Amino acid sequence: MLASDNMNGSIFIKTGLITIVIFLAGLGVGFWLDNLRASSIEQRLLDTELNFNDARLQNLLYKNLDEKTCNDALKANIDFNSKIYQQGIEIEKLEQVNRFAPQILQEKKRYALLQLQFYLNALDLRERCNFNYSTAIYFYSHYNTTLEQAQNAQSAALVELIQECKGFTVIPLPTDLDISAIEFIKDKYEIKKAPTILINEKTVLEGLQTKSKLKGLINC
Amino acid sequence: MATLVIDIIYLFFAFISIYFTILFFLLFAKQRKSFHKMPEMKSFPSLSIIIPAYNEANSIASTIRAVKNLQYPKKPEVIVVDDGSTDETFKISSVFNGIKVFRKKNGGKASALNFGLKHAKGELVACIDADGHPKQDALLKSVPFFTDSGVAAVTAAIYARSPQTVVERLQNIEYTMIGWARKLLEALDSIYVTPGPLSIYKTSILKSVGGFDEKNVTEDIEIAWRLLYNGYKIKMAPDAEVYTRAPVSMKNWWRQRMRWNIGGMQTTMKYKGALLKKSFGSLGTFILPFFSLSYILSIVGISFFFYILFKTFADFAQFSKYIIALGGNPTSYFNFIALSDIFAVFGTIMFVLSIIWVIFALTSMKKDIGGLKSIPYLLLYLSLYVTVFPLNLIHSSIRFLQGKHGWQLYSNVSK
Repeated sequence: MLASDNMNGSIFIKTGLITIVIFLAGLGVGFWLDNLRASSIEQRLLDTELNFNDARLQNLLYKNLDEKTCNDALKANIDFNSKIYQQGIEIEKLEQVNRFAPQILQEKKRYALLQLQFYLNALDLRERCNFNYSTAIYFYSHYNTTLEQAQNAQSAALVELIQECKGFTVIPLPTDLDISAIEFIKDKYEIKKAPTILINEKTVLEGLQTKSKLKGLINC
Repeated sequence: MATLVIDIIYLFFAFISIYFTILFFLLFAKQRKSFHKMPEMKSFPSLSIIIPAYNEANSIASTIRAVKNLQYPKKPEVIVVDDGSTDETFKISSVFNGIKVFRKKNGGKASALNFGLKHAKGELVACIDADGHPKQDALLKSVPFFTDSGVAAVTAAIYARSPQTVVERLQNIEYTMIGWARKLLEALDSIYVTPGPLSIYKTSILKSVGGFDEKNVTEDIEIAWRLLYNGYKIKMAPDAEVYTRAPVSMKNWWRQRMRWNIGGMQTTMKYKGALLKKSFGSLGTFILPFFSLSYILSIVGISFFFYILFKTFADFAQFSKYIIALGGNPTSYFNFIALSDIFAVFGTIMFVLSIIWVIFALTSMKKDIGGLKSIPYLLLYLSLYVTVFPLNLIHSSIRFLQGKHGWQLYSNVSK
């Protein structure tokens, strides 16, 4: 009986050790996957940042933009908007599954700042080239999970408007990530809650907004 | 915070599930060469066969024929106990020569077995369900395990008889795997059931522990635990085959599993005092913790499954409600579906281990379950079947807590 107990004890310990190895390997794979995805986002943001700086410098180099350069700049801006919006969704998806890569939050802040830079560039381009396209800032909450699906729906509706209305530029900004530049804009336009949409730096719309209502307020 | 708690529970669930799977793999590695080894027996003891029957007019004749065809050096004593049938069971049984047929007032399978036990004269007593068809050499391949004097019971490998329907085929796969696992548990002295289709007991020991528990709906689980509780051993003869009628429909399957689960719960409650106590051997240190954890894991596992399923649908419904109100397209929801996460990593690990488990079980039991044709059934087994089972466990738990576990409720349920 004693020998049997020892045998049983040793098999339970062996099982425990193998399980720990498999378990740690599983955690390792999870960790690796999260970091791989975080690195991929980081790299893509870096590329986007480079593209953005390139476009911004072009704007600065040409003080007086002619019609062709304006059109090229507008096209680049539209492409950039579409790309950066898609990256925002990728980051959101990554956040949902991320367990081991806390740097995702940092990436999200970087992304928000990049969005802001893009927004300022879009305003500058509109003024200098005398374009009449509309801009919208979509303020959303990062931490309020009860708003998740409502905000996703608003975001999806805005994506559809970007595709339908040439030049329409949307900048999603998180209201609760403690970024001082965003706080400044919130104060300036008296943004109190999320979701809120600011159209053409004039109209503040609190809550969810239908596509038709938004279409009536933008050049589409 | 809620996400963290869910993560921790899930990872705990994954750890325990992987632990038990690996335990079986190690037990298999240890017993692989001796899996089909049978002890030598010079002199076979005398043997009685008890067939309890309740309304088995359709199957009793073929069972008696199969029993009479059993090969054994000494002529076995065959006892049929008609447990107050309202059909022709008694009349059909009485036609056969050389067997004893008794009739008693209906009292449940355990009471019929005890009745037969009182009349049994053999040193060993084989209990065979009225729909059990043992293979001709089943006794020759199981009785030799009694050469070890501490052995009180020997169990056989059960298979579904002529499985035709999908439900029957799935159960045939399951029975094969249960048989494999039971043989592996022998190494831990932890065989926790002596199944009704064919189990053989040492008559003197069975009588000394008081026979079968007539209040338990799974007397075959309870008697196994009582034997272990009293320090006896149970062995498994993997080459002793018995074929039984598996439930043909999901409805019958559901009721059968409820009986098994409720009986398991009844037995767990009866022996809960032995939990983690070394003095009760493997019953206290392995079987009770294993059973208790199995219940918890099954319920936690299915809760997770439904949580994820429900959350996905609820999110989609909520998103659709908003996007439709906003004038957008609901299919854009799929842009927001998350990528695979750590849950998926451990889910994959557990699924791969399950496949290895099935392959090991089927190959080592040397049972042909239909070759390549069985692949769809195996996949169905690993996906749908294992998902449905915990639901049955939840239903059984509710019935158990309501106190609905008398044998009368299950008297006509498939064995």
